[in-house]
Amino acid sequence: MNNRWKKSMISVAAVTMLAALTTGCGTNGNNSNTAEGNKQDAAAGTAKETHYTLYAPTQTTPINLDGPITKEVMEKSGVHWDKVEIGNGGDVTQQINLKLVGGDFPDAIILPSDSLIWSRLVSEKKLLPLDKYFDDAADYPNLAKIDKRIIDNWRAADGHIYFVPSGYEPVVDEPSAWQGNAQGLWVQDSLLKKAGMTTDDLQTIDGFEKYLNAIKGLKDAQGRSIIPLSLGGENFSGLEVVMSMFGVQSMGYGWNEQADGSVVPDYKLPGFKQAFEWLNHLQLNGLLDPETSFQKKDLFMEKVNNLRFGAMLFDGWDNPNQSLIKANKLPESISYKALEEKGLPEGWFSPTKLPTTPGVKLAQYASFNPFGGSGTGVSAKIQDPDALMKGLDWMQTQEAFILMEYGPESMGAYKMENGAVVVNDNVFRGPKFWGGDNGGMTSVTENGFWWWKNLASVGNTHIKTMESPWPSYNAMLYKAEEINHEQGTFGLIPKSSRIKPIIGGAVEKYNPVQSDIRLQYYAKLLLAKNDQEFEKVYNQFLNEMKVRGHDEDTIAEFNKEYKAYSETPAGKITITVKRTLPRNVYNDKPVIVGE
Amino acid sequence: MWRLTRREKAFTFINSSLLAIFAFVCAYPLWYIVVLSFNEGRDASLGGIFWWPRVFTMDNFRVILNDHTIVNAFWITVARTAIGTTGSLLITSMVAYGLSRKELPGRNQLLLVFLFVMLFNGGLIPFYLQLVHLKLINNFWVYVLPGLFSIWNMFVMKTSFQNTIPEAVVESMKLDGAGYTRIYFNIVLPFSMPLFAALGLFTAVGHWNDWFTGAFFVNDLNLQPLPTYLQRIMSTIEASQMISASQMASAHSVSLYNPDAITSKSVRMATIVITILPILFVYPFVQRFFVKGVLIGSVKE
Repeated sequence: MNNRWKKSMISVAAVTMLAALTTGCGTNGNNSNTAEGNKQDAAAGTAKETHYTLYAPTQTTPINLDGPITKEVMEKSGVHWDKVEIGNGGDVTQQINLKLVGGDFPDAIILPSDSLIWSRLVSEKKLLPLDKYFDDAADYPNLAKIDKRIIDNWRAADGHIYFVPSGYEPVVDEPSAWQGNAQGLWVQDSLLKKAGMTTDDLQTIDGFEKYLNAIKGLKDAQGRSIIPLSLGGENFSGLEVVMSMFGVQSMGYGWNEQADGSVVPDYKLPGFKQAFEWLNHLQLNGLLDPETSFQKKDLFMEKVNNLRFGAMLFDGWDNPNQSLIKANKLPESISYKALEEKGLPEGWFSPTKLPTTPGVKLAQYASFNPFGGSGTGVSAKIQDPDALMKGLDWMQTQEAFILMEYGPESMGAYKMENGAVVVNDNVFRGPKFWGGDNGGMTSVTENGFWWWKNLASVGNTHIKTMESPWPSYNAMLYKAEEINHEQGTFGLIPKSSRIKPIIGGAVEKYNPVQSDIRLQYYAKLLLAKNDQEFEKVYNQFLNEMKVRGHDEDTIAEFNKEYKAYSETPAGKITITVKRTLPRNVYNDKPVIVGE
Repeated sequence: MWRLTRREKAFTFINSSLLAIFAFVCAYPLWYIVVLSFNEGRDASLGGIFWWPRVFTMDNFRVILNDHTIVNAFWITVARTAIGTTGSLLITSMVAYGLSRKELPGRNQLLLVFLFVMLFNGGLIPFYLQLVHLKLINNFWVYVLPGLFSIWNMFVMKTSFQNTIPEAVVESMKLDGAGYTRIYFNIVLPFSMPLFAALGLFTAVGHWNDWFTGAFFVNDLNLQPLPTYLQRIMSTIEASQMISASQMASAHSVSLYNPDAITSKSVRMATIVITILPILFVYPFVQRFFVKGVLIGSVKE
């Protein structure tokens, strides 16, 4: 026993020593993100080249700084990145907090433009104000060309702008016709036909309920009952569409501007209660998916793909049309025009106008955000900010966009014809571009296309491009956005959604608590067994928001902030859309878009 | 020959049935994860898969295993688990042994200090600053050194040493001229193997599963362990799917893998399988010590 034990102890010690020697010694030796080669090349190269470090905490695929497109981007911009540190897929705020306390802040940082972390970085004086670069048309023509409303929108509380926005609309009054808003009412065409109705019959709440009742008893191919209506995936995701039907805006944290300029939360409006009364009535009559209150997205998707629903009030993106195309063995890229000629497959979902109540104007739930999705901030301690800003200025050009999107023309993913980009899908969807492993993300970061646009780029709305017809299932999403335009549920992202809460204020503190209360009581309101119980639950909800959610404090604080914000240039932004630039959705052959 | 009575037979039957159901309830979710990890993602989203993959694919694993850094991540994890577990058992048991000796001066005060720091800690940021000052950020030893001493395990070991090592044996060794070090290596360690096996397993599983240290304290991708790597891959898959959707692109007709096979859920399932499989194999080997080990120290004479 003793000998055996001794032997095993010796073996363990030996393995430990060996592992320690082989692994532990290689601590800081080879950082794949550090382009040592680049550094040496650059040291030997021109003196003008400037070297910086970049931190992209929302990026999780390692960046290869020797990628062919990356090299080209660095050369043309004149900015050489020695190190691009990426995130770990965990909480970004936590990662940045640690970076701040560790004192290891890079020369530049990319963050989502609406991130609350910007306020933190500004208050800790980590960032350089960039105002002068947006006003200097002589040295930074492309930065100066950015619409002043975009700059104003991103100004911090102290009035300065601290990051270069990316992915913004180049001409704010002439945006793309596709902004990604597919929310609304989606109906299964074949069931509507089976019920002997048309989309016109669904324009009132009574007509819509009539449809739901008509399909209530129907069975699907497997003999399972059709569920007349769904509110989308988890956490009542389609609720904002229902609220819109009752004149209540519930996007963001549900602030609704009143005639006197003040804002009130959605649950204080009569339409909110009416909307839940209606949903409760649907629930009690077996017209609403009984698992709405507690289902996870996986379960919802299972029902969607099995065509269990007759209608959906939801975000639109999770519709089953793409699965139907596959199930019917149709080419995935078939255009909507070609599909219509063939006949839409059984079970096809189409977006439809929302039912309305007389005297109630539909509230906005679809937003148009021309201000861009991410931004690049520059460290207050940077050595040579002008050179970096010069590089970011170049990245605002169409030439830079095309390089970052498709690589150099020599790689074969595109060619220029009559001033328009003509994409070669065989290459662009091939292994070196989007066809690579990890859905293309490895190629993205190895070769260096696409992701650089997060650092700095203009939106592509006005870049002339020969575009292939959209696949039919995407055409439906586009159609949903057109409907949102027509019925008035689409608009500029509201002021209330653009305001950043005060760090440490009541809104920041109690928003998470209020969200929890909301989810808990939404379920109770939906599942109330009768009117008395509904009334009781509704009053409990209001009381909880007051006591636990401290809503008197949050409403007072937000109103004060809203009033102050309305007086700032950002609060006064108005956008009148002169025209929208359509995409190639309903044709069956490629056409030029962006002109 | 001893025969079971009818009531005993009934008890055995019900007992076995209930335990079998319980075992099934524990094992089935794991099996379900394995099945989904071998099924095409988009097909799995139709539901109705319970026992076997309906449309078999290895692509979920291909996506994860494709990156060469996974091999490095695997060995980092093996190394930290081996060094971390061995080192932790050694250091912790030495402290426990010291504190189990009543003649140690200041023993109660030390135990109080340990109890206090076990219940209260400074939080993430002071800990991070400490690591910065110790130059452990971006260093392999960040996986090992902070975890070398586990107070919880120390208390378990201390109680066990006090209860299982007869004082008379220690005294007789002392009379024979053995010092504390000799007593520790010749008596305490050999008698505590079951305890070491049980606590070693807990520590090893903790090391194996820990993604946080690699994610927040190590930036160098060559030093990241397997769980951190897998967490990063998951984020990448989700991001790429979001990009594909937002690009409104036509089908990835020339993909290297079958795009239908990959959904974030199917990759997540494959990730879970890869993470738990190696450590799962360790259990049978230490099982014989396991029950005995975790009960040690729980009863006082």
